[in-house]
Amino acid sequence: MMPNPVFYDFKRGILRLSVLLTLLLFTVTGVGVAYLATSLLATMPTPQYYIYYSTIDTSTREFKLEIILLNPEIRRVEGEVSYKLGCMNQTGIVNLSQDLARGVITQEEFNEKRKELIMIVDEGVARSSSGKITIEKTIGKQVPENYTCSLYLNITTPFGSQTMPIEVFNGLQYVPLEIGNRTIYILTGSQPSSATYPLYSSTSDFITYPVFNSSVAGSASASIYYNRRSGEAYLLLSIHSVYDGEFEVYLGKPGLINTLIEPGKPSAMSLNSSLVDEYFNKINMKIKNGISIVEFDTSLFNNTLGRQSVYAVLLLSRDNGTMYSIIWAPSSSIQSGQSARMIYNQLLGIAGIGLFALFFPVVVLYLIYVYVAKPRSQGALEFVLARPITRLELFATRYTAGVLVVLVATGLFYIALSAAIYFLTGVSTSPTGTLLLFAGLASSLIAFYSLCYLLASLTSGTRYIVASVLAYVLFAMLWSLIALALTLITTGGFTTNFYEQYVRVQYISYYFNPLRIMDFTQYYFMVNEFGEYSLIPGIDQVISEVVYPWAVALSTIAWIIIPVVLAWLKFKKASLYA
Amino acid sequence: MTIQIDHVSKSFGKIQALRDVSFTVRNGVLVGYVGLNGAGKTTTIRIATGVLPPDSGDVLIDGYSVVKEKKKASWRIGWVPELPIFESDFKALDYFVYLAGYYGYSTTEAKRLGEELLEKLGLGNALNQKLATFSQGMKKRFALAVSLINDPPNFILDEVLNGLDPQGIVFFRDLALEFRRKGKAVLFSSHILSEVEGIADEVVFIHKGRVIGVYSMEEVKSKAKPALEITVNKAEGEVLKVLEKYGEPSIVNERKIVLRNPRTDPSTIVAELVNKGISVLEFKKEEKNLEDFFFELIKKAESDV
Repeated sequence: MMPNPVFYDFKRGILRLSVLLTLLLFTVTGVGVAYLATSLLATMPTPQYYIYYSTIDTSTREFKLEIILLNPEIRRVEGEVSYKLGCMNQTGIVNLSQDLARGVITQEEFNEKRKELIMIVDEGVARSSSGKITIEKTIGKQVPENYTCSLYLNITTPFGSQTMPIEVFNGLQYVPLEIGNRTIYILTGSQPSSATYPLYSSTSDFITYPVFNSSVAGSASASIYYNRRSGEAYLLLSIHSVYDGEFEVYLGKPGLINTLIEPGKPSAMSLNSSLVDEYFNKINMKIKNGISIVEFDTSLFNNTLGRQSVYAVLLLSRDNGTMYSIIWAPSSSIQSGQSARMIYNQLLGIAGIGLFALFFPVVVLYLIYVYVAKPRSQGALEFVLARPITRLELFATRYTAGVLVVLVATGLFYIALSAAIYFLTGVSTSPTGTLLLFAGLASSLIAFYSLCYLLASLTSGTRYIVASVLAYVLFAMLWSLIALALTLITTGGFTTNFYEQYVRVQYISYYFNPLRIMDFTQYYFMVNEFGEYSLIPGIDQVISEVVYPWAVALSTIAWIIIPVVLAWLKFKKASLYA
Repeated sequence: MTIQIDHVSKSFGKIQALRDVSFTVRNGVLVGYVGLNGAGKTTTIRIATGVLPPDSGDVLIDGYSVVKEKKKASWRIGWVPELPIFESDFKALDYFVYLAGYYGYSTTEAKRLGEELLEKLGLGNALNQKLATFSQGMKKRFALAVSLINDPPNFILDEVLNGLDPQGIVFFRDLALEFRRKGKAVLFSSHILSEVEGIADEVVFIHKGRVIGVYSMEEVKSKAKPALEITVNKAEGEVLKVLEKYGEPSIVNERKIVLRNPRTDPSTIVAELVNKGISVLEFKKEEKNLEDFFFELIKKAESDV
């Protein structure tokens, strides 16, 4: 077990007002960067995805609305939705159209009067929680008979806003479902594109397609999105049926559409078990009324990705007779990684991790001043060394405490930054990516800590401050200029391939800079997450020619270990007397 | 319970601070370690407490080498430095708890012990005071409290009476005696021999990094010479001429003369001076002058070299 003093030294390091304030400052800046990235995203043309489900029970006036907001990667994202429920007299619009046709009113008058026909029966605003909005309420006004209703949504997420002007045909139109003597208006679907089909019920076990002897028992909507690179596919479903049980989800096998329409082939589709198995692959997830996101593997598409734009989706329940829907769901590829890439460019940039990496070393050098340089210059380490502790333990205790402070501070900053980005945009990194970024940042700071520890062993007090600040200025600020100067010397001026050569020299020079270890891991992070690092052609090639994992590992270990060993050799025999 | 300094030598650059220093402090014995400032007392002590590695030789604390078995040796020795220096940002109790961690105390135990010891040593009101604000006396008491965490069997008090008020001097003298009574081996350093006169059993004299004598206190006292301190209008040739007949005079300042080893009754000397027309303003008799013995030892050591 580690001796108490390590934790005590750690505690007094991390709980220093200066460290806490700096950490807070960087974290706030990091969250600010997340907001900046978010606002930049909102200005980019990115598709808005959401799934919706709504019912209006005309007899009880119960209104239910569920929406899931999704980012371009089909992951839940927070946002705000304002809605208006507008209903319109069907006869009114027919009459108005006739007036326009007869020339009784002009087109402008028609447009104006058409708006007036829409009666807003309810409206409201809601913020999502975990990307989902659920509203259940009794609406103020009764929906009169012979009225059709539409839902008008204004949606704002970090990926932009979408508004639906209150116009006839602009909204999402409810369909009436007659159940006994009451009418329920139902609305299912997803944006930007989905297909909605009726849900049928029958007492028969053997249903043919097209449907006979069955009645409409609800509505189901589906759309499919897939990510070619990650191999993930998502089925966005929104269903409402009179039956409140669970449905099995099936995806039509490739070519099913042709099978169904081709003359001479089975033109009717039986829903008995063997035929379902013949035409469909089962997705192991059951869904109920409402909205669902079903995740499955693109291997189910059987190499038809991009060649088949519509897939059959079968929802089937045999619990209480047979209930099913076959939906021809449109499929689209999601533009994976573009927004994430932009966000992470911001995150890694000078206002995010870059800022932390640029200024946190100042805290690091100050920590060593507190732990070693100052007490050594005062002579205070002797009194500590008079305890039952060896000189090596004293040396190691304070080194370990400082490393722990660096790790915890980096961890807190990184978690705060990642959490802010995740909650604002829904974008998160893979576990490998997370580890790479954290390890790179932490390794850089620990390497600089080791270097400063060496300086504190060679000097003390004010001389340490001067030496460590000079080291900081050299490694954190002047390094790029040195790389530039070296490039100019090697190329003999600004030649055509100057930039490539500059990048090459920079990356070679990073092996000799403790604070630049993170540049290597950031390169690997981008390659790991997005398949490439730089958008400039040829640059990835240049970097890959000089960056080797073994060399990066060797440089990191050397920067951490060698200064510590040298520091110990000096500290071992040094007088700690003031 | 012994502190055994065993042929210790130490140099700082070209300056040889200690040359083959050897002596032993046994259990229940209080040894005075006397030398002028810069003689090597503190260097010896820093080596004995394990905070400074010797160039050669070793110090054995209850048989444990401070060089090879530092942890065991440090466990068995307490140290109050002449000028204790702490990490000044700490508050007293916090620093006590921190240092107690090296003795294996949990935070709760260390807090309880710290409150108890600091209270006992008169620092109960300063538990949450920053160490930077402590007076010298308070710092020494704090160093003592830390050294008492595990109540070690050996103790080194380095010039502890320096800079203390009378109350502090009495406190530390009594403490040294109490340690001796409890059977601890106590090394008590001072640059003034008379400081250890009433408490030491033995005295080790050090000069320019060498031990120049080890005596029991009885021997020291018996070897010390009596002296007369005479204050006159003007300490000049005439006065010295008279005094030379009766002993070994030396001028202290322009009005004060010390007559060592007087061969006759002081009243005879005063009468002779008065008869010669010299006005005697003050007259003081010192039975035995320990410092003279010390200076003689130094003189002898230097002439031997």
